[in-house]
Amino acid sequence: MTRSEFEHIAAQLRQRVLKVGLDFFGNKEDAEDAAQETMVQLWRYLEHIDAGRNVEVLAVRVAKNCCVSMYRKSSHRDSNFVRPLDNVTKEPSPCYNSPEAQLEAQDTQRLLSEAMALLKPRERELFEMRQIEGLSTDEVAERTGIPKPSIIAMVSAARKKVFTELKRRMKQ
Amino acid sequence: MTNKDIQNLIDKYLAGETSPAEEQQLALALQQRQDLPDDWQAVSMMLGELTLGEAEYDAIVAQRKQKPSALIIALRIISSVAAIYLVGLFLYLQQEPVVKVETAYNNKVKKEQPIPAPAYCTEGTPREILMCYLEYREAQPDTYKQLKRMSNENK
Repeated sequence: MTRSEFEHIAAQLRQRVLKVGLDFFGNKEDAEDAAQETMVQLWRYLEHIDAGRNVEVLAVRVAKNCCVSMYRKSSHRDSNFVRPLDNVTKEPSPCYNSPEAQLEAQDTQRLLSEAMALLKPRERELFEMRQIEGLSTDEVAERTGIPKPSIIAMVSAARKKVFTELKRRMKQ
Repeated sequence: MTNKDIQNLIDKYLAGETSPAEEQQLALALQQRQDLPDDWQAVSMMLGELTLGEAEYDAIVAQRKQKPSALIIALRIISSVAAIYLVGLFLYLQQEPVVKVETAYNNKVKKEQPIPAPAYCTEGTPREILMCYLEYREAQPDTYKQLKRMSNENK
């Protein structure tokens, strides 16, 4: 997706992610912060978004992630609750992480990207649709026109390849 | 979720058969455990922060819906008490005031008509009239004592 394409839908996306924040925090200030951070994350991730993808679904997932990160941060500040470092991440990166968690997230992202590089283009596309956009098999089938059993088989193959590669690299 | 449940979900995930909700459930279960074995760690990495964030978001929102805050509970109690009070007040105001019969402002009580003096001891023979008079006087001694005193004072 190009910047101009993103700018074209940015206002609409912002309203959508603002609602996610309002539903979560119940106040406009925090919701505005979460919406702002979500838009920044999407902007950074822009070059990885295919124009044909449903950006709104991705934006909602990123917004939810930002809300939870802000919530964790405030909980940590309020109660001194020590949460284990986030050991998982995908693009777009989560919001408001500590520097240590960001480094670990980058490392994880690198491992995952290298593992995903082994996938065929179609496998990778389906893997990302399930993984990043959070679509169900039915939704993927509806969007791509591929029969559901074929999607399940391709997603399974993709996941097993990534899984095996990740395990191999983790042992190194 | 037990380890066996987690392993079953992981197998289902790798078979491409999990729903997004099951993947969120799996991400939460893995996030809550420490010192994951390599297999589980790899799946956790694959599920990703977005799935985990979405799962946590939905869990927190659902928890809030189930468990209202103390402020909401207090507001509910106050509004319930206020509603009961208003219903009670309404019912109380619907009642007609009970007016005591003896009170002077009771318009509903008809003023008693002056009882005409009984025409007693007017018929019969002189003896019967006399006896009647004496019986009547005996029945109301105070009245006649007062009349007698008044007649004596006037003399």
